[in-house]
Amino acid sequence: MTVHVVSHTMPYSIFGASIGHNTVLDLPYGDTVSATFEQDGNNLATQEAWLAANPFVFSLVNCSVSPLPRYNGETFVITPTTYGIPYSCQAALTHQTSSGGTTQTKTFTVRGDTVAQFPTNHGLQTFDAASSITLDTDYRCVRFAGFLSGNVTFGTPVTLNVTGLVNDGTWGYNNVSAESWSIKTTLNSGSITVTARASGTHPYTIQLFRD
Amino acid sequence: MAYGIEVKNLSGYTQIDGLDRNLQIVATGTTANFPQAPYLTTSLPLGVDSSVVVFVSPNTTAGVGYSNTVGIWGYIDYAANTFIIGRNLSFSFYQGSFNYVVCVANQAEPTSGYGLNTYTGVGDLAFSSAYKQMKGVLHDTYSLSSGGDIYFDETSPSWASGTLPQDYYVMINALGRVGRVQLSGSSWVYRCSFVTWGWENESLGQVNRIFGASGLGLPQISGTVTNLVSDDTRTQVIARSI
Repeated sequence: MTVHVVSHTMPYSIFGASIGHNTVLDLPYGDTVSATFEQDGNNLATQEAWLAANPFVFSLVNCSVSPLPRYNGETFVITPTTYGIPYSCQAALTHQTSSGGTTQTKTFTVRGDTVAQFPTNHGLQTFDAASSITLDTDYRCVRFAGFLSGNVTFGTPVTLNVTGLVNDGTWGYNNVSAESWSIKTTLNSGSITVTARASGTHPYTIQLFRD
Repeated sequence: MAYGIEVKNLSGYTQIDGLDRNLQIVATGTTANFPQAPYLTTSLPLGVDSSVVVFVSPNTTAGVGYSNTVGIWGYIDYAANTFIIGRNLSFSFYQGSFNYVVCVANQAEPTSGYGLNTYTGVGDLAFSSAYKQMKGVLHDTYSLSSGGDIYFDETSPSWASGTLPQDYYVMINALGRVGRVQLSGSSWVYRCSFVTWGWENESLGQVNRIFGASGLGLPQISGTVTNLVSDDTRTQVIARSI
């Protein structure tokens, strides 16, 4: 959220001319511009009075300016309305020439692209045919990774190799037997060990999932 | 991931990938009221395979059991195509029904003709927007032998405002009988991987909560003959059905 400072002063030598000045400044998301534009009146009372009599007239595209009104030499802030599309702020100052009579217009323009907010919301939102959400961005989902079954004999543990298995909190598994006091399962890196805790041969059924 | 689509949620957990099939909801329902018996049996839909995961939650707080709690164990009987909810109190147990959600990874190919389907590398349907997903709020792997209890209550960041214990489902697959004690002769009691819903009870100073799930005496163990307890590791998923 940076405030970029843009300042430009047109010299008194061009007080009698109409001229424009452009600044191109691209803005990351949230950034704004603090702008100060001035036509030098050379401290001449008449010229300074002319400049002080008429505020800037703004032509704005996808931005706002504050505060208002602003007069020659006063600072204002340009804030893009929507980031991700270009903006343009033109401040026009109209004054009489030093000799009076005709008017001159000075334009000060700041423009550029803006960058959209980097998405902080990840995930996917889906709907079914009834327009009900079936998956939302904050859902934590369970995915089936395997069903392992067999028999284990006391004194001869079984090692079940599982590609990619790590004990990092993103894998889950359950011994889904109704009664499981006769076996023990141990989660290893890349495998699960099944050990019989009582004599004889015992069935095991392990459901593996990612979460 | 070598192919397909990978989606992570805003906490960085994978929602969809090209490797594993999502467990998606294919059936929901309500069980019968809990009988005057040790357990309640409910049929699963036809066609579910070994990927089936069943989530359950008490349907009502009316008639909750001892100390404003409902404590259960349970398991899936794959051969009978049923799931069993067992009571872990021998007295003052909840007499209401349970809501249940059945999830599988072998969900049928949707026929609507629109939405999003993803597939694994071998062509299996991995995810379809036609099916709802459970929203996991607490995933915890615990050891039965170390007493690694899990505790989920109103102070948890994942506990949504205005929700009650019965708004949260637990996975039956993580439950089961994990130990037994022979009291005498043919009389046995069991230790279970369990879960308990608890409702606010000011007299006990407790907030709404779900508690589990290491071995628990069922009832308090007083036998001495045989005591064999699994050292299993289990993974419980507490989730919402939204």
